[in-house]
Amino acid sequence: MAWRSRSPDRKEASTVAGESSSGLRWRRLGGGLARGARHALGAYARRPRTTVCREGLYYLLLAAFVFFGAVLGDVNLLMLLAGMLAGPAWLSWRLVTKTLRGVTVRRFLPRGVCAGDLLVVKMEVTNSRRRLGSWAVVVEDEVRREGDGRRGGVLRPSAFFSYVPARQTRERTYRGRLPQRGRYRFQVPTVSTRFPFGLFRRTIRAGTPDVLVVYPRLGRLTQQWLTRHREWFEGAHRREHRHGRVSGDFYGVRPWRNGDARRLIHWRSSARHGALVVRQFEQHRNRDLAVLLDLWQPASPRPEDRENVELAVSFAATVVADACRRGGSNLFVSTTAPGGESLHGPASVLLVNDVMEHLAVAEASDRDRLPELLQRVMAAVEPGTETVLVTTRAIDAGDARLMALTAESHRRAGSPPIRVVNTSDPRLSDYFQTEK
Amino acid sequence: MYADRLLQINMAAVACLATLFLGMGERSTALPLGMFVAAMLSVWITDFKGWFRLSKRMADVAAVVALAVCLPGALRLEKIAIISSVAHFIVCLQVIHLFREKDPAVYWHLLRFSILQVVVASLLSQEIAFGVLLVVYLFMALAAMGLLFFSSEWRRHHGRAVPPAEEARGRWPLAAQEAVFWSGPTGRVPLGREFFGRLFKIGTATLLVAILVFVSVPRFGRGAWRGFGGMARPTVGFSGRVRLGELGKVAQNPEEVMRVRLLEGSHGAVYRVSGGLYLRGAVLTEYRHGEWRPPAGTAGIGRGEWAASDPPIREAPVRQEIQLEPLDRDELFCVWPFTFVLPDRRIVYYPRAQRLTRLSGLRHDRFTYLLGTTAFWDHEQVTVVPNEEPVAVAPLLQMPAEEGRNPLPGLCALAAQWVAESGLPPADQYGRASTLERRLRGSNQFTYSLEGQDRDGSLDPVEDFITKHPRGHCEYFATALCLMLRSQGIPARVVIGFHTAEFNELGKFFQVRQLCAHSWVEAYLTPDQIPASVLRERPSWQWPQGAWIRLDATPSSEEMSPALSLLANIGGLFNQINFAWTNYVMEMDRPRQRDAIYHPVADALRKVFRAVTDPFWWQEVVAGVAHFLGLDRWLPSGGVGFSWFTLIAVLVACVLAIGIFKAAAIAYARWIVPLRSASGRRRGNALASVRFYRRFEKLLAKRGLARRLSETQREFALAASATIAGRTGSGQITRPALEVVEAFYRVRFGGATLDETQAQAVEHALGQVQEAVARRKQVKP
Repeated sequence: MAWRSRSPDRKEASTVAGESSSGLRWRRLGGGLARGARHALGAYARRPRTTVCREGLYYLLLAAFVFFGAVLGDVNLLMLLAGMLAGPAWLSWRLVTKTLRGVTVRRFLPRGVCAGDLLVVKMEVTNSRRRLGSWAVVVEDEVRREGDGRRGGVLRPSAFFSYVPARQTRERTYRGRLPQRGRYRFQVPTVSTRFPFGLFRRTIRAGTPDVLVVYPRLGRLTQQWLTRHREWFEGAHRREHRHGRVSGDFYGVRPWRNGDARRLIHWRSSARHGALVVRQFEQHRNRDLAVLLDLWQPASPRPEDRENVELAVSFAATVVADACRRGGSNLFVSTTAPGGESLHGPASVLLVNDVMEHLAVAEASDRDRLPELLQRVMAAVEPGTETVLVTTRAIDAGDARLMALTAESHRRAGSPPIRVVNTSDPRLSDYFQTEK
Repeated sequence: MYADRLLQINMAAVACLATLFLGMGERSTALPLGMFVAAMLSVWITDFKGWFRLSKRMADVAAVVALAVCLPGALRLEKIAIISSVAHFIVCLQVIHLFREKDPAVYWHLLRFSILQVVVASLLSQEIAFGVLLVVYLFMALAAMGLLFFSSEWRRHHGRAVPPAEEARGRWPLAAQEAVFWSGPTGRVPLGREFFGRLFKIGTATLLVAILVFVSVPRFGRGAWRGFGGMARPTVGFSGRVRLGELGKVAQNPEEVMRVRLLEGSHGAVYRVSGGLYLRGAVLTEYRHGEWRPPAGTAGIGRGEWAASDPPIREAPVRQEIQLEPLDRDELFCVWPFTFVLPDRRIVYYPRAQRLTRLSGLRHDRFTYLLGTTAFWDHEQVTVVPNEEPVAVAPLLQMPAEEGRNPLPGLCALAAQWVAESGLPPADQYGRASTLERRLRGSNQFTYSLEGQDRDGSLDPVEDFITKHPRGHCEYFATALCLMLRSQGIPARVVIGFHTAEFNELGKFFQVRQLCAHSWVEAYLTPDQIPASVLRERPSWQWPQGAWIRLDATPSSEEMSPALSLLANIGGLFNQINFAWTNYVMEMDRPRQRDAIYHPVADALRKVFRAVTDPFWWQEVVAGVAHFLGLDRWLPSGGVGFSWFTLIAVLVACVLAIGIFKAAAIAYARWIVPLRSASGRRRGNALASVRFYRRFEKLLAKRGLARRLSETQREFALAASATIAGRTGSGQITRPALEVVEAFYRVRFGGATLDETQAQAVEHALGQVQEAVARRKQVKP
C-alpha cells in the first residue's frame, strides 16, 4: 500500500526534475530487471542441488581410471569392476535425489529463552512418500543474531535423522547456549542427505524461517537489595485491592493445574483450546514500580563497559521479573535505548514477556538520553510510584536533571525519590548476583 | 560400538578378500595368508584392545620402508614385475593402515587400496573363482562403505560432547562464552534390518548395473585381454598325431575352440545343416607301433591362393566362416573339400599332407577365416565326396609289419570274418567298407571309453583292443577300422579333427569345443567303385579322380556313455558355467559382442517393431485374447479385421480404464490415506503418550496396587506411594510417582509432547519407582 502511494510522488518528482518519460521508462525497466535478477538469483540459490562430495570425487576418479583402463586395454574383468564401481555411484545419485523428495520440515522453537540458558529446538521431519524411506537426513539451521554484522557470526546447528520411514514423522532435538541476548533469525532449514555412501550430497530447503528472542539473563536479588529497597520506599502509599478470592483484574488464562477451583475454569476457552484452562486475576497489593534503564556506554567501549551494560539490563530484567512474580502492582519500564518505548501495565506474566522482549534488543549508546528518559517518566508514572534508575555510569546525586525530577516528584503528591543503581559500581554485587 | 566393531571386522575382511584376489593372480598362498593374519591381529590388538596403534608419522616411515622394499622389483622394467611390485606395495600400505587408529579417512584409504588390489589382480587372473569372489567382494565392500558412511555421519552429529561453559573472567558471567550448539547424546548407531536390506538391494542393483555396463560398453581393441604374454589355450583334444596305448583319461574340456557359421547366397543367409559337422584338421596315413603319422613331404604350395584347376563340383560353394580361438597349434580346421572364397595370405595349404595352416605368429589371437565348401548336399554333409587330386594308393594300403610277420593277426582275421559274413563281392568296396564300419560300431563287441585302459605291452595297441581289451576311445575305433579296410585291400587313412552337432540358435553357428575332438576314417574309391546310388543322387558332380568315403566307427554318445552320476552332473554344470565365464566374460571382444549381444538385441527389437506395426499380428493378438476370454461370438465371423469402430472402442476403453485408475488413485490419496494416517496418528499418539504411565501402573499392579475407577491418577499415585512407604518404611517413592503423574497429565490432557530431557526425567522417575517396588520384594520374603 505504501509503495503504491509513493509511486505517483516519485513520478511527479521526476517530472518536476525534468526527467523525460523515456528515461523514466528505462529506469523502471532497469529496476524491474534488477528485481527479476534478484529473484532469479534467490531461486537459484534455494534450488535443490546435488553435489559431489570429496569422497565421491575420489571414488569417481578411481572408477573413471578403472573404466578407461578397461576400455583401452580390453580387460574384461576390469570392465566388470568398472561396472561394479559405476553401480554404487549411479545408485547413490538416484537415492540422494529420491530420498529428499516429499520431505517436509517443521521447527519448534521456544517462545523465548534467557541468555546462557539451555535452548532446546525440536525439529520434525515428515516423509510423505508412499514407499521409500529417507535415510541419514540432516536438517541444518542457519542462525544469525540480528544486528551482528560479524563475519562468522552465523551458527549452523543441525539435527540428524537416521531413518524416516515412508509416511511417517520423526522428531529430533538439538541444543544450544546463546550467551548474547537479542533477536535471532532462524533461516529456512537446509535439508540434506548423503545416503547411502557419502558420495553425493543432495540439498533442499524446506520449512519456514523463524525468530527467537533471547531474553536478558536473570540473576538473583539479594536480601540486602530487598532490605535496601524497603528502606528506600518505606512509608510510601500502599494500595490494596482485594475483593474476594476471584476479584482483581482479569489478565489472562492459563492451563488447568491440580488444585485449581472448578469455578475458575473458563469453559469457552477450554472448548476452544481442547484442554481445560482457568482464568487468572491479579490483585494490586504492592506499590507501583518504575524501572528506568540508562544504557550509556562510551563511543569506543571497553569490555568492562559492555559488561556494565549487560549487568544493567540483567539487573533491570531481574527486578521486573521479581516484581511480576510478586504481582499486585503496576509496572513501568523504560530505557534509553534508541527507539526504545515505555512499557507499563499490571505486573503479570504477559508484561514480563513484553519487558523481556524489549530488554532483549535494548542497545547501549554513547548519546546521553537520560533527560529524555526522565521527561517520559515524569509524564507517565503516577504519583507514589517507586522509581529505580538503573544506569551504567555514576550519576552525581546533585545532578541537576535528577534534582529537577525529584523536586517534581515531591511536588506530585510526595512521591518517593528516584533511587539510582549504578552497575559499574562494584558494590552492585551486594544487591544482585548473576548466576555463573 | 556395535557399528564400529562391525565396520572394523568388515573392513579387515574386505582387505583379506582383495589380497586373496591378488594371491589368485600370482598363484601364491603366502600373500593372502599373511594378510589374513595381519588383519586378524589388527582387529584384535588395534581395534578391539587398542594395545598397539601406529601414529601417522610411524605409518609414513613404514610406507617409505615398504616402498624401498618393493621398488627394486619395479625397476626390472618387466610389465609383470612392475605390476607385481605395485600390488605388493599396495598390500604393505593396507597392512600399515590396518594398524592405524581408524577414522573415516583411514577407512577410505583402506577401501581404495582394496579396490586397487582388485584392479591389479584382474590383470593377472582369469578364473571363474575370481568372478564369484568378485560378487562377494562387491557386497562386502558395499556393506563397508555403508557402515562407514552411516557410522561417521552418526558420530558427526551425535558425537559432539556438551561443551563446558567458559570460566567467567569478569563480572559478567557470559562475557567469555560463545554461542554454541550441539546435538543429542551419543548412542548406539541405529542399524537395523532396513539398513542392511537397503544395502542388499543396492548390491543387487549394482550387479545388474555392472552386467549392463559390461555388455553394453563397446569394445574397441583387437581382442580381449588374456593376461600377460597372451593366453593361447593348449589343445587338449586335438593333436597332430595319434598315439595309442597311452594310459590316462582323455580330458573332456568344454572350452570353446571355434565357431563355424555356414552361409549361402550373396546376402549371406544362414545355411542350415542337419546332423553334425566333420571338420578336418590333419590326415594320417602311416601307422607304426601304435602311432599314426602324417604323410611325408609337407611343402606348402601357396598362401591362400590355391584353387583346383578343374573343380569337380560346379555349384556355388557354401561359405564357412570360422572363428578360431587362440590355440597353441597352427592347424586350421574346416569342412573338406574346401575352396578359397577370397585370397587370404595368412593361410598356407599343404596339398600333399592335406593340411591347412596359418602363420605361426597368429596363434595368440582369435583367428577368423572364410572358406567355401562343396561337401553339402540337401543341407547335409555328405559321406562321399569327389577326390580332387591324384591319389597315391600304396601308402593307403600299407599294413604294419614287424620282422616279417603281421602284428595284427586278430584284427585281420576279424575283418576277413566280417567281410565273409557280409557275402559282398570284392568289387563292392563301398559295401565292404560300410559293413566293416557298421559292424565295428554296432556289434556291441567294442565299447567306447575315455578312461585309459591297461594294454598288453607285447601286442600292438590296436590288436590288444580288438582281441583282449575291447574298450577305447575314437582313435582306437578309427585305427581299427582303417587297418581293417587296408587288410581287405581298401585304401584308407585316419583323419583327425572335430565333430560337432551343437548348433547355437542365438548366434546361428556351430559351436566347437575341445571335447569335440574326434578321429574318423576316409576310404578311397576309384571312379568305378562309386555306388550308382551316389551318382544318381548328385548327377552334376564329377568323379574323374574317384571319391572319398567318410567312415566313423565310433559308437555314438548315447551308446557310449554310462549313466552319469550326480557328481558328474555337477561337474558338467560347472564346466558349462566355466565355459560361459570364459567365452562371454573373459573373452568378450568386439566380434563376440556384436554376435552375442548387439545383433541379437537389434534383431529382437526389429522383430518387435515389425510385430507391433503389423496389423495382422494385432489381429492375431485380439483374436487370441478374445478366444481366451470366450468372446469369439462377439467378433465378426471370418476373423478379426480392421474396423474403425473397433479401434475407437478400444481407444475409449483404454481412456476409460486410465481415468478410472487415476480417479481411484486420487480418491485413495485424498480420502483414505488421510483417514488412515489420522486415525493411526491419534491412536499412535494416545498410545505413545501414555505408555510410560501404563508402565507405571503395571509396576504397581505387580504389587497388587490397582487404580480404582473413582480415583484420579494423582490420588492413586499418592495412595500407592503411601502404601509402599508403609510396607518398606521409605517415602522416597512419592516424589517420582508424582513426577510420572504430572507428566502424564501434561501429555494426556495438555496435549504436550515431552522433550528429551523431560522424557529422561520420566524414565528416571520410573526407574526409582521400580527400585522401590523391587526393594519391597527383597525385604518381604
